[in-house]
Amino acid sequence: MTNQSSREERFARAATLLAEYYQLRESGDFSDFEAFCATEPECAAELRGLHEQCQRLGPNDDDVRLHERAEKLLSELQGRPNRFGDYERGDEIGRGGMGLVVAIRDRVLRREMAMKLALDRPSGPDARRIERFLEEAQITSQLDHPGIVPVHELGVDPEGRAYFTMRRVEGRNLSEVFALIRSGREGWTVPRAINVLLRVCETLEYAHSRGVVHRDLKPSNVMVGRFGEVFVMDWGLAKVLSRSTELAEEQRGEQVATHRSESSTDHAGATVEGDVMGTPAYMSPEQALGNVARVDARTDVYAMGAMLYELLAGHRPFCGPEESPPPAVVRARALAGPPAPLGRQAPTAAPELVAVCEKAMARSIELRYASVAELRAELNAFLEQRVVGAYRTGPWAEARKWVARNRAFAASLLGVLALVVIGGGGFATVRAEHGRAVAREQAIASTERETAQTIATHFDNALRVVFDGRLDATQRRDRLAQLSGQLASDQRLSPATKARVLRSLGEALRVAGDPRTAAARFSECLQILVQLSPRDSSSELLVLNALADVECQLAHFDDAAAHFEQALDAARQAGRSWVEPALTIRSNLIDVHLGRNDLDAAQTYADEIGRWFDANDAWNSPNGVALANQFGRIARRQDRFADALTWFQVSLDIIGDKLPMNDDVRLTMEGNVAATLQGLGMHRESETLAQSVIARTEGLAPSDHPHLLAALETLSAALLDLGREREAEAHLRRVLAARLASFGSDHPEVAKARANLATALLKLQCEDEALELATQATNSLERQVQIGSHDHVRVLHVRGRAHAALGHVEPAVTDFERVIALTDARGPGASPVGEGSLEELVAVFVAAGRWDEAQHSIERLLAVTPPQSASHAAREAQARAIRERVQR
Amino acid sequence: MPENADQTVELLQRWHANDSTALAKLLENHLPLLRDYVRSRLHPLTQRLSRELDASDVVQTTAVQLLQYTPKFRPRDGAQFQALLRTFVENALRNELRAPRHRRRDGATSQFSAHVVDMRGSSDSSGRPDRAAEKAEDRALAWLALQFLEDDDDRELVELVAVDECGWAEVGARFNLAPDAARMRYKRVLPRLANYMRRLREGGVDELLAARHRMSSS
Repeated sequence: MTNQSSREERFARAATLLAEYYQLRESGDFSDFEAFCATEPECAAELRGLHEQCQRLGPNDDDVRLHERAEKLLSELQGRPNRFGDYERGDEIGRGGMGLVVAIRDRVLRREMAMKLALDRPSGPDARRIERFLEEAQITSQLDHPGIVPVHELGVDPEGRAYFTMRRVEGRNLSEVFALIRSGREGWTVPRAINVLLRVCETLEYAHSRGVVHRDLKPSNVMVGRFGEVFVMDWGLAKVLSRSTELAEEQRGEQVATHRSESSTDHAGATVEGDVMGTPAYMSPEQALGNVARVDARTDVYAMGAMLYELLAGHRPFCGPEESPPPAVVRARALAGPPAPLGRQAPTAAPELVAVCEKAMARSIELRYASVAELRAELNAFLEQRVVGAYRTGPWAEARKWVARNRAFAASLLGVLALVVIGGGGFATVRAEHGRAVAREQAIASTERETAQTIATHFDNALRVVFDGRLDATQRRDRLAQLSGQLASDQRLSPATKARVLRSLGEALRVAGDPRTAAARFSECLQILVQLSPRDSSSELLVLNALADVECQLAHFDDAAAHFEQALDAARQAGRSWVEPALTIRSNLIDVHLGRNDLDAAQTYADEIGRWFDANDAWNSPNGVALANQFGRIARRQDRFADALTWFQVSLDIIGDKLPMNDDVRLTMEGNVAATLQGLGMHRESETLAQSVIARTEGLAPSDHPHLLAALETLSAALLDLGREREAEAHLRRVLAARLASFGSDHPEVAKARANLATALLKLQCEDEALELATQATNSLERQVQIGSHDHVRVLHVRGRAHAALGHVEPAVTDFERVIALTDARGPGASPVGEGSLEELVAVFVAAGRWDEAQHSIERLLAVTPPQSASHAAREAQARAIRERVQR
Repeated sequence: MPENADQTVELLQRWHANDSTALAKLLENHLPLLRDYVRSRLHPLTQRLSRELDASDVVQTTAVQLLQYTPKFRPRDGAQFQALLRTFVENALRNELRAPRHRRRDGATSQFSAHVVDMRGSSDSSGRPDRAAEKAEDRALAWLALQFLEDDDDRELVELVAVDECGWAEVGARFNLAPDAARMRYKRVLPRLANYMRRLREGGVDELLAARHRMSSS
């Protein structure tokens, strides 16, 4: 037997087997074609080839079922009485592939209506169209939404043609509206048309929630009524998603129960593979390809994008201006690639809208908006001048949009930002650096043979103590102190080894939240190191850096600056001017000088690093992100708001999509930006971003993760400003508990957490607990010699407010006066808290009827209030009132 | 053989390029031979045809049909084209004897319906040129393949469904079958039809013609 004859025999056998398979499938004995092929491996390929050809030959079983269903349904309808005779037929309104629409008048109810009449009777190839016609009536009647014209009656006319009646919509279709926009008539504008598209989105959202995809959205299928009502018409090609589809999964129980959906397997084939329906210019690639399985809600998203394209470009996608190519040509173009870039077709269109359109019309279904709701949110954002995600995402863009909407207010609020960001982000960065330093130390220690064993033992002991989950913070610190004493008295250690152990202990203490003791250990270490001969400049550098770090924590910025400068000198002497840790030291110096309010010094270091980054093309790195952020903070402090925003943009651009969403740096940055947004008064945006950070951190990190807690604090601040004090209180209690568990009661972070909670409690009029917390916080910081630090001033202010709320005049006055004195010491205008305390002081004296002191305080307040500021007039008026009272 | 092979192929190309003189020339070249064949080999069939429909009409109509489909199936030479014509004319005569065309549905074409092997749906749906071309090719091949179905009933059944677009009830009534049974018969025929289409696509027309000739002779 030759190969050819063997092949022909296989095909002949395959043809016979395939006929048997169709018989079996019909009798319900075998439905899975591939399983059938598996039973005949010798000619499986031939079976598949012939089966594919047969599928193309049709009519297939689905056509037959459609035909029979259509006949059955029509027969049922014919058997029922209908109101066809009550209708007075008017003019033809429109005509489509499946039927014609005529105006009718209901003589009995005396109302104007519309009737859609099927063009065909159900026979042969028409069965599909009849089936769709009937389904259109069924689907439409089950979609109960103001944006969908209700169907009144489905029936059969005396000639046996199906019809349904519906409300008649007077108005214009969107295609006509687009023409009016182009000609500038009747007050139609692009934003007004976008409002119509928003209404279409709402209607589609509803339909999608019921498992129905329209599939033939186009401007002529959207009617705008005379009173602004918007209707999505012509659901004749609508697809009821099968229950296995994702959308239906999400919306289970809400699906439209049409004849089609009752037999989902039938439905899957009711629109056969390769079936192409819709209008080419608005048809998604998957629809144009006839890829029915891929058609879902995102197919309608594409069509929405195509309508937006037409609105902006003034012509349909894939058609040039003034061009009306045949549908076949349009579809060929649609299949060949994307339409002409909208940016070029509509050069004056808002880039945000262009971006939205491009995303909605993405050729890959996965790249489109996942739902019409997302698209609607974007269009809404555009209309409200908020950030459009497709155009640019990220808090920077949010901030820029917000500034565009609120220019004056933004300028007055930006000054607050620096404090928020320094307070929130700076600490998180320091803590991250601490963790890395510990790891570095461990690595270095293990490489030095002469002291390796001793150091390893003590270092391990220290770390075990610090990280033993069974110990609370106080116990940790006690154990470390004990260990510290043992090491100090251990005469067996050489000075070099002792210095190394002291440094390790310092790191452990710092991580344990005891910066004061850590600073002491580092200082001791440093004293030993400078006496060593030869000098160990590397170790000196590291210890100086670590010491300065903890001094930053203690808000001892001058000491920190001095030690960082020494560290930098040490780096220079070691010939490591621009390698780590010198780069980090310079970066820390920027933060320190920002803390010292020495903006010139901060700028000098930033410029120095910036120049080095320029020369070494180093911006595109984590250090670049940090430096851009610092440039932004400096600019903000110098009131160069535009520069600040630019730098934040740079920093976010560097991050781009290089870092995963749950990366530490990204979370830190996003947390900082959330705090920035809060400072900008963008409470809702801040809340959203903070929630996002929280969601990504929770479950991945421990409950006391710095990003999580910082984000919770930011979120709480936003909630307080949004008047949701109870929610804020719950979050702040959680933060306080986590901080206490981590650091014990005497850590600056705990004091801050107490002060935050006290602020929320004051809003909730729980003054007693607020006072207790504020007092604990104040005492704690004073014990840590944090007097005059930003946190100290703030907790004093909160305590003063608590005293004032409880009528404790003298304690309140004392606290406010202390705040004023401390902020004065930090330079004029150093803290809005000082100004706030003066205001509070005035209020306390007024409430107590101590008018002379009230007058004295208001005069002080006026002296620090810029005459052009918004608050000056109010304070001036208050001052006049107090003066009059004093005179009386 | 009426003339050399190149002339038939060339004439076909010219006719399909809208040169009407080429059609006349083709018919002039092939119809006399075809009529001779019908007279000599198919005399029993033509004698049984009704007076209203002359055999020569069937011959001419069938020839034109084949000519319409040949763009999708280009004959190798004049001899092959003539052989195809003979097969199709014989089929057409048999069909006329079984169910004269004028008794079938009004307005039905003598071609495979577009809906059968074409994209279905709205009027806007037929625009993709490559798909449309593919479908047209399928349609032409299906019509050619149909001519090789051995069983007259099978051939008529497929024509009723695919060409005349009859519903299953109507098809079933023609063969005294229930609609479902008619549909099942159609489904059973389809794999053979698909196999013939494949063979035509792969250039196996000579083998099909030979098999058909053997069957007719027997």
